[in-house]
This record gives sequence, structure tokens and C-alpha cells, in this order.
Amino acid sequence: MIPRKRYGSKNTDQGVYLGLSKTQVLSPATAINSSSDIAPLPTPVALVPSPPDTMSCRDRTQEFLSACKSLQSRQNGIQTNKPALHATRQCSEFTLMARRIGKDLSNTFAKLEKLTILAKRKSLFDDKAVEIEELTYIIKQDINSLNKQIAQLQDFVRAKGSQSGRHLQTHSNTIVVSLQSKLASMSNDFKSVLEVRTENLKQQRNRREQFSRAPVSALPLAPNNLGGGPIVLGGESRASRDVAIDMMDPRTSQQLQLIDEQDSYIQSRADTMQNIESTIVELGSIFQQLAHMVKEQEETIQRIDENVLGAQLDVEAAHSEILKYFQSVTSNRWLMVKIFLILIVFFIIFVVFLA
Amino acid sequence: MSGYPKSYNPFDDDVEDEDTRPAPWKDARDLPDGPDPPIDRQQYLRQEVLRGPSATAASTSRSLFLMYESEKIGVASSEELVRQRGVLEHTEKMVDKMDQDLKMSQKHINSIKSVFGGFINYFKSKPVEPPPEQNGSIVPQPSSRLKEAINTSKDQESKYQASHPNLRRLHDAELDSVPASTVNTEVYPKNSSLRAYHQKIDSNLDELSVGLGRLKDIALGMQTEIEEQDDILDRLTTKVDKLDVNIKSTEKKVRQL
Repeated sequence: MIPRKRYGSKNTDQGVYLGLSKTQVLSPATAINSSSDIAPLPTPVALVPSPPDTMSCRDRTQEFLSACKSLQSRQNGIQTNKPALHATRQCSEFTLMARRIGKDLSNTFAKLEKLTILAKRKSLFDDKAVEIEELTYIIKQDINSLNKQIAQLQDFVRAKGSQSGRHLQTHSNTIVVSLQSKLASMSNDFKSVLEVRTENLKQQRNRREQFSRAPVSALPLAPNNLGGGPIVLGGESRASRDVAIDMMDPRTSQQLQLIDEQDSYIQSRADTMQNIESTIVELGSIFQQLAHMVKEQEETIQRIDENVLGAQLDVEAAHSEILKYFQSVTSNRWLMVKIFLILIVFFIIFVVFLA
Repeated sequence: MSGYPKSYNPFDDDVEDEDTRPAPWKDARDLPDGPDPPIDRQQYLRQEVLRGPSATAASTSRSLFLMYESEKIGVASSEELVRQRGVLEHTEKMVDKMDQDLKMSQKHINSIKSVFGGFINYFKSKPVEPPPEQNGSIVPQPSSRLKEAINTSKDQESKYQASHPNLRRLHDAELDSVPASTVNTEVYPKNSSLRAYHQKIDSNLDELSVGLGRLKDIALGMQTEIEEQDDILDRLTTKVDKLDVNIKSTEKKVRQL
């Protein structure tokens, strides 16, 4: 029993230490450990005078040994400490998981703030598209991983729910719901940031189109010298007919410019389509999550329905039993009334005959 | 010697011109010396240009398929919500029935407790008239918004099933368009190919827009339905609390008997 107790005490020590989040000397931690082992409830009371107390190691060691002896003698008779330590251990695991998720949430909120600052910038030439795309990708992955972690935490709470008490279960459920609500608000912020980014991209594209029309208007300057023909390869071939060899290079350069313009247009359209596709993939995952939540709710409502049906059957059975008892009591009362009437009649007859 | 290779190259140019273009272009092609590198580069750039819209068309098709899948999931979730609403309403009616049973039990317990309880019930029973129970099972009626959204989306089931062959058609179109673009080296087929791709992309985007509108209707309908179910749950919670108090008091009185 001693090694198991030591392992449990270490876990308790870690839990208490992490919960306190204080840097203390080892001997006060040992004292807190012993006090928490003896009686978990007075732990907050014992924590208050512990910082000013600075005793020698010898006295604390003796107290620790006496506490071990008392626990050893107690454990010989009663074994209630084991589930308490087990519950404390699981509570510590839950706290660690919740803290990790909270920390990840705060980090992702910081990244979202950075993305917001970058997305709200509307300058045409100082656009950091690569950084914005990287941050968007990272935040998407963070949101997905946080979703999975919260799902694991919820499963952990459900697995533990039957063992712990009602207050601990309520506390755990409250923590899970608050984490989910924080994640939902972060998703909403992320959605709004992406919408702002889309609007900025549209404005930039409009400006780029305004600026990119200048080279289109500059192109007819060359054919104007030749005769003002349209920018078509047929016209270019006519120009090459008129002038023998000198027009080959300008014709090729003009054609390359046209192809580059088309290529850039198609490339931007492909990028936009990629963004739309990723957004629709996210929409699909949102609908799947909604379906999953509705299915969970269906299980809960099904259970409520069965419980209410059972309660109704019990109430009906109780009602029928009360009816039977009521009938028997009524018949008994009528019997008493009849006997009383008969006695009254005999009494009257007796009085008449005696008189 | 330098004149002989020149005469050899125009012969090949003549053959290419005869294959692709009419005779008057021949004289124009004879004059330039080295048209081969520009033509190869043009073909390469043409293929590069055609690669972009084909990828975009594939992307739009995949988006369309995902949208139809999301719509299907939304419809299934909506139907599940409607069924849950029915279950909640059934639960509420059972709770009402339990409440009436408890009132009758209360009356019987009063009459059991003492002989004069009957007189008390006689005076009490006149104002307390239980309402007649509706035995007809009421079909759960969801909000009209959700109903319209579900009906509109169910009409699109054929489009959802067509989205799979749409992907197959896209692959077939890609297989057909690639050799066509390689065989034809003129400008017009390139434009027609680009025009076909762009028209396909535009039609996919239009269909995507309509589908996203339907998804919005489904989502708003589900929101309305969930809000109404929240109201039902609150009312049900209140009734169950009252029922709990009544059951406890009745149990106490029964134990006293």
C-alpha cells in the first residue's frame, strides 16, 4: 500500500501545485500535501497561513511521518481514500486538458487579431497575400484541432460522469460549454475577417482593372502607325504583309502580352475558385457538425421521451391503485352507515316497547 | 550551301501551311526565315493557357458536388429536427396527462382521508372542470420557412444525383478537349476552347449561387425551428418542475394514510 499511496500523493501534489500556480519551497508543499491527504476540505483554510510559516525541515519531517502513520492505520480499516484519489487524479487530468485548450484558444485569438490587422489593410501595392493565406491556413487548422480536442474532452467528461458527483459533473459540463462558446465566437470572428478580406480583394481587383486598362489602350499606338487595325492576328499578318521582316518581333511581343493578360486573368479566376471551394468545404463541415449535434440532441430527447413515458405509466398505475383503495374505503363507509342506521332503528323500537 | 537549307525549310513550312491554312498565306510565310521557335512557344503557351481554365472548371464542379452534399446533410438535419419537435410535443402532452391524473388522485385522497372530504370535493369539483382531452395525434407542424426550404431542396435531389455524372462528363470533356487543342493550332479553336471552358465555369458558378441560396434558406429555417424548440423546452421544464412538486406532495399524503 505504501508505494501506491506515494504515487497518489505525488499526483495530488502535482494537482495542488498546478492549481495554486505558485513557486514555493519543497517543505511547505509537503505540508500542504499532508494536510490535503488528511482532509481535502480544509485545504483552503490551511493554505492561508502556509506562506508566512517557515519552519525547520526536522519538524515538518516528523509531522509527515506521523501523518503517514495515521494514514497507514486508517487505510488498514477503511479503503475510502482510493476512489477519492482516483477522482482527484481524473479531475487533474480534466483540468490539464481544459487548461491546454484554453491556452490554444488564446493563441488562436492572437493569430486572428493579427490576421484582422493584415486583412483590414487596403493598400494596393503593400498587399501581404502570402502572409494572409498562411495565417488563414494556420487558423483553419487550429480551429479544426480545437474542435477535436473539445470533442475528446466532452467524451472524457461523459466517461467520467458516472463516477464523480453531481456538482463536479455540472462544473465539467459548464467548462465544456464555455469552451465551445468561445470556439464558436472565434469562428464567427474568423468568418467576418474572411468576408472583409473578400471585399478588399474585390476592391483591389477593380483598381487593378482600372490600371490594367492603360496598357490595353497603349497597344493600339503601334497599329496606329501602320493603319489603325484592330488587335487581331489577322491584322498583324496584314501588317507583316506590308512591311517585310521588321514587324516580326513587335508582333510576337504583342501576342505574348495578350497571352500573359489572359493567363493572369485565368490564374486570378482559378485562385478565386480555389477560395470558393475551400469555403464550401468549410460549409460542408459546418453542416456535418450541425447534423452531429442534432443527432446527439435526438438521443437526449429520445431518453427524455422514454423517461416521461415511464413516469406516465407509473402515475397511471398509482392512480388506479388509489382508485381501488378509494372504492374499498367507500364500501367500508357505506357498511358503517348501514350498521349505524340498523342500531338506531332497534334503539327506537326498544324505547317504544319499554314505554 | 546556305541557300539550299533555306529552300529545304520553306518546303516544310509549305507543308504545314497547306495542312492548316489556305494558299494566300503561303507567300507571307515564305518571307520570314525562322518561324519554328515562335510556333512551338505559342503552342506551349496555348496549352498553359488551357490548363488554367480546365483546373478552374474542375474546381467549380467539385464545389458544386460539395454544395449538393451539404444540402443533403442540411435536409436530413431538418427532418431530424422536425421529428424531435414531434417527440417534444408528445412529451408535453404526456406531462399534461400526468398533471390531470395527479389532480384526480388528489381528489380521491381528500375523500379517503375523512368522510367530510366528499363534501369538500363536492364543493370543489364544480369550479375545477378538467378540459376534455384531445385524443387525436397532432402531426408536428414545423415553421413554414423550414418546410418550404425542405421542399425546395428535395426538388433538387435529381441535380444532386446528376452531380456525380457531371464529374464524369467533366473528365470525358477533358479527355476530348486535350487532343483537339493539340491537333488544331489555329487561333479560333483556342478561342472556342477557352470560350467553352469559360461558359462552363460561368454556368457552374450560377448553379453554385442558386444552391448556396437554398443552403441559406435551410440554415435560416433550422434556426427558426431551433428557437421554437427552445421555447417548447422551457415550457416543458416549467411543467415538469410543477409536476415534480405535485408528485412529492401526493406521495407525502399517501404515506400519511
